[in-house]
Amino acid sequence: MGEVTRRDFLKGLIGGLVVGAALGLGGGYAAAPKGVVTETVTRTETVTETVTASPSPSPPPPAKKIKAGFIYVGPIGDYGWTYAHNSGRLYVEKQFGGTVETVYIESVPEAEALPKIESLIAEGCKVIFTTSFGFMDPTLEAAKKYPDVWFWHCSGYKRWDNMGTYFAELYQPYYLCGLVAGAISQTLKFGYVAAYPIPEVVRHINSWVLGIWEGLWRRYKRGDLSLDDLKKVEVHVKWLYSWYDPPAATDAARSMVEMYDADVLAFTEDSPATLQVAEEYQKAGKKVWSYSHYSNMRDYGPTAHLIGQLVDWGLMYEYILAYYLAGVARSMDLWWLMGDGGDIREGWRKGKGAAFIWLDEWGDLKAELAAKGVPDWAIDLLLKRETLMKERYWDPWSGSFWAPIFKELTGKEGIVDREGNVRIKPGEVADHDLLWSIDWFVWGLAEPVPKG
Amino acid sequence: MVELTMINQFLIGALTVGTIYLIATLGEVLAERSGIVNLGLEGLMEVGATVGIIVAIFTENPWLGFLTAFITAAIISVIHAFACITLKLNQFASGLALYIFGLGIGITFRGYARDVMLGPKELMKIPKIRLYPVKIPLLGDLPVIGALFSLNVMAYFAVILSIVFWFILFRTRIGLDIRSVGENPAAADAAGINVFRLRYIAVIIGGGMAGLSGAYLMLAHTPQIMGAPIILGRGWIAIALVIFSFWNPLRALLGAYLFGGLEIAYFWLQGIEIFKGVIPLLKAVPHVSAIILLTIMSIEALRRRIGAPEALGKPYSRE
Amino acid sequence: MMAIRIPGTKYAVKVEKRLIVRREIPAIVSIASAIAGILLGGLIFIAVGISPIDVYSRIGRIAISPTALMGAIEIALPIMFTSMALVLPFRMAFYNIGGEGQFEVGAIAAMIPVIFYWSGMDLPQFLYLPIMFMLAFIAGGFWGLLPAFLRAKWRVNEILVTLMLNTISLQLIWWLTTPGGPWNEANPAFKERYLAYLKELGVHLIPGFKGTPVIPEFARLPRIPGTLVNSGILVAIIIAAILYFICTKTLLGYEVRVVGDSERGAMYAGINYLKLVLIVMFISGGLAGLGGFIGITAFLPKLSPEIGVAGYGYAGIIVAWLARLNPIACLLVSFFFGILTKSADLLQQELKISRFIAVGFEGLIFILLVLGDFFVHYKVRLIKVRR
Repeated sequence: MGEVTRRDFLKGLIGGLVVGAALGLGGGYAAAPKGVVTETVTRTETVTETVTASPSPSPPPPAKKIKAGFIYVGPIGDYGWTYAHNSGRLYVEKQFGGTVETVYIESVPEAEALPKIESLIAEGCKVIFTTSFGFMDPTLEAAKKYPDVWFWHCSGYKRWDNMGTYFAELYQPYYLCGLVAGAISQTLKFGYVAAYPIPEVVRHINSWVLGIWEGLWRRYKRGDLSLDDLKKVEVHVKWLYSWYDPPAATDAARSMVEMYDADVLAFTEDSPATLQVAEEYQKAGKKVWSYSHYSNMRDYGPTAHLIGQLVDWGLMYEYILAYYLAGVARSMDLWWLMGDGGDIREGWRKGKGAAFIWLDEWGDLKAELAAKGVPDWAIDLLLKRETLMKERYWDPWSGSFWAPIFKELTGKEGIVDREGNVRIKPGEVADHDLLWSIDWFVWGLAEPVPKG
Repeated sequence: MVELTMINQFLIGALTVGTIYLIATLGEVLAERSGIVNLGLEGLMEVGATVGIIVAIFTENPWLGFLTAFITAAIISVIHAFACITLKLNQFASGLALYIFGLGIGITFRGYARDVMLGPKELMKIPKIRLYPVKIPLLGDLPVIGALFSLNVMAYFAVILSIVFWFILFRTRIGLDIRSVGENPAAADAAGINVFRLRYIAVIIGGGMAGLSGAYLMLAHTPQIMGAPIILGRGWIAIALVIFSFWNPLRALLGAYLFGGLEIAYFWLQGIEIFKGVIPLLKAVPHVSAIILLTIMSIEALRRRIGAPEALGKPYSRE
Repeated sequence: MMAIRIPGTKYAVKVEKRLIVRREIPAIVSIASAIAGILLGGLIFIAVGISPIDVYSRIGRIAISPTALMGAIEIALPIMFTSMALVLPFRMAFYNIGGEGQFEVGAIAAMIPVIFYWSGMDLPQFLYLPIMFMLAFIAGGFWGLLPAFLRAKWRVNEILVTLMLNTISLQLIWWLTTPGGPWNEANPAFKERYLAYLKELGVHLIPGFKGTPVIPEFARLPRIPGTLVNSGILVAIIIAAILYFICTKTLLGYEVRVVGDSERGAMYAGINYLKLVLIVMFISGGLAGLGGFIGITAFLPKLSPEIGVAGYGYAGIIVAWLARLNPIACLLVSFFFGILTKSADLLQQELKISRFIAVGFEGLIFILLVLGDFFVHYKVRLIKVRR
């Protein structure tokens, strides 16, 4: 049940995709041996090879039909988390044709997770996806009770022989969003409408702020800003204590524009409310910018919309189910970053894996951002950073990269938290566990992370 | 001057949010003055929000949205009126039933509209149909009180409505009749007042106001179409405000804006040093203050012998 | 008493007050209302383009499968408690809408021994469940006392106070379980024992998430062996019996009825309203608190803020009304609700329709039930009129 390293992971990924492709094309395949819970990635590759390279001479047996069940925490009618997972479900259903049948239950309260998981099992589901952190312990209970069913829990950390975890991480797209924010801001004040003070949200805020710092830093180096300007930068966070409350998000976003004169607003809330506030200010003649979050929200604020972040869970579900269908399912921790799951070189902007949103129908990225006032160098930098991150050549959480920048800003080398302590030294890179449990803010945030 | 403009902006926010409460509270004041409690506000607001935004998008006219939201909620509250007035059934039960029903169908049809009826083209119309604040020249630029002159049209309309409601209830014959129906229906009946007709009118208009309030939240505050709830408990606060206002439309103005302010203040106070450790508890502040205010008001009402209309919650029959 | 002629016919509808309400009438009316609600609800399905016949035949199919029925009982279990909690206060016209908050506070209190356990303080294992049970009852009861006191002393509207307390208790859970909060699973106080337990499970704790440590196996309510039903159902049945006894055979039940008929009349009869309402609300809050105990020991083996998302307290209100404030009927109606919830799940799975249709549907049944009350008290007949 160890963690999959990136290199292994990429190998496994390609293997899985090939299995998936073979399935999608051929429709049938030889039944793989059962009970390979502790298989290694190497094994996966072997299987892949047998499937693709040496097709069985006898006609393939008909594809067995499997049923996958999804437990959602929210309504599929929102614009965020559950909506995105449901799109993923629809995607795999289409992708696997008749091989995979999916069912779902939406708006499941945590306390009812176990009975509802069992009702899906009673209906014949062999793979269950539970898509909220709060389902972690009920899912674990179910995994112990039903060893012949596969469980996949999204965003948690507890695993079992037949229970894996998966997550598509957005900190890199957030970094890119921050980069644009740093390049476009005139007031040098930024606002973030945040759901809950949990590591996922804190990590996204931090990555966004790091992106802002790089954007601002480049402007300083180009002579557009002075060091004094950089000392005036403020990032404010307002906590909703709710994943979904559009009217409250509206008030929170507005309060930051009015109180601090923030002109770029990011958010973690499952509705386009924050973007709409930015659009409203744009209509009133004040330049305020915002993003899409988790789904395409641009229609709600075409003037104020910069870029956004998006997860295509469909690819992840396809990957997991392909493993299952190939008979090589095993307990894993999938943690997908930008570029994972899709073709690594093409098509990322259409939303493969975790990506930042830029849809072709919106027109040319460069032209559009330039029209909104993002300088050319910043657009080039955005694309460069994006490519580097997808290719795994660069990551924003590297101490060495920030050492010279924070040296000049704070006098300390490395990634510095808001109190001025060095958290990640030069030469270090934040690892998975640090990012998973992060509870401090980077330099520049006006308020600390609230504690219980 | 920075501080002054900030106060200005805070007030604009408080008044804009407070108007959600104000409209719903006014309707409930009217209904309760006639002796009928309607606990279904939350559900009616959800319905009003759905109807308001969908009609506004299809007709590209927010005012038609407001109108149809009012009418739809009014029609649904006929059920409540029929149950409580004609059939003389339990008002609390009927109101709760209306709440659950309204919540369910309001959200269902909003989700349905989003999935089936509306595409990106319709969503792009939202900025066109929504209400924006209108700043009155000169007056709107004044420090602090400028906020009073920088609101959207519906917010002004709500203020006018509360004055109209007050005038009707306390300065006209029909208002006197409504109040007497709520205080002592038997005596009113003996005096030749049509108790049933007045109660029907009050409940239907009151319910319509809840629909209007939901449409206001959608069209003037957070215009969104999704298959998920959007009122999120604000209807219940409006019911609390009726008691806070002693069933007086002008006091409702005060209560609604106070609560609008409290809701906004949660975000404005988060940045202040002393509140930083207790943000989860800060969120409960409007609710704690509601309990405290209710207690104070109730004690005050007992002392001054004013309070709920005498016949509130009791069905009237001629037997 | 009243007759309305149907225009153009020789018939008229005559409405008469029933002088004696026979015992079976409320039950008949309830069932008839539910059936009428199901038929009318078909309109909602038609409006969103789904054949209601298809829907109901699917529901009919699930309703006869034993696993589904057992699942329905499990889902209904917390609602059984939150609905029975409302029997006494609603009978005395004290509208406790705070079942949700009392449920949450009960869950918090039930967690206390577990928190002590993980901090290294032991009790004999067989004592955990009884102690958690009692703490949940007491805490829920105390949470119910505040609105009762305010109402009795100063006539503060209880609906609103209980409703506001619901949010406050939820924020309390947030404060306890949020990362860095005193009961969060990553609290250093649990370090030794909880980490060892997780290690045995093969789990590597990552701090920073909401929620308390999980409840150890011995402090969880088990299922009845051989079934899919949690043993909490036995507790629910015993409590229903006790509550039925209180309502019908004791002085408390009698006083509650007198106050429900007329508060002023009760005053003349020498009933101490303050004392009565405090006792009733303590029991009521306590029962809702037991729902919280069930919620964490039978289903979710930990305390986390999402416990409040389920809305058991609110579902309890509908169930209590549907059951006409009869504790035994509460069990049956909760079960009916469990089937309804299961059906809503099924409809989502098979027809992919919104969860909120089920809410609208419940509302419709509830409205008809309220309207149906009319037929409990009045007789409606068709009569022939002579000119």
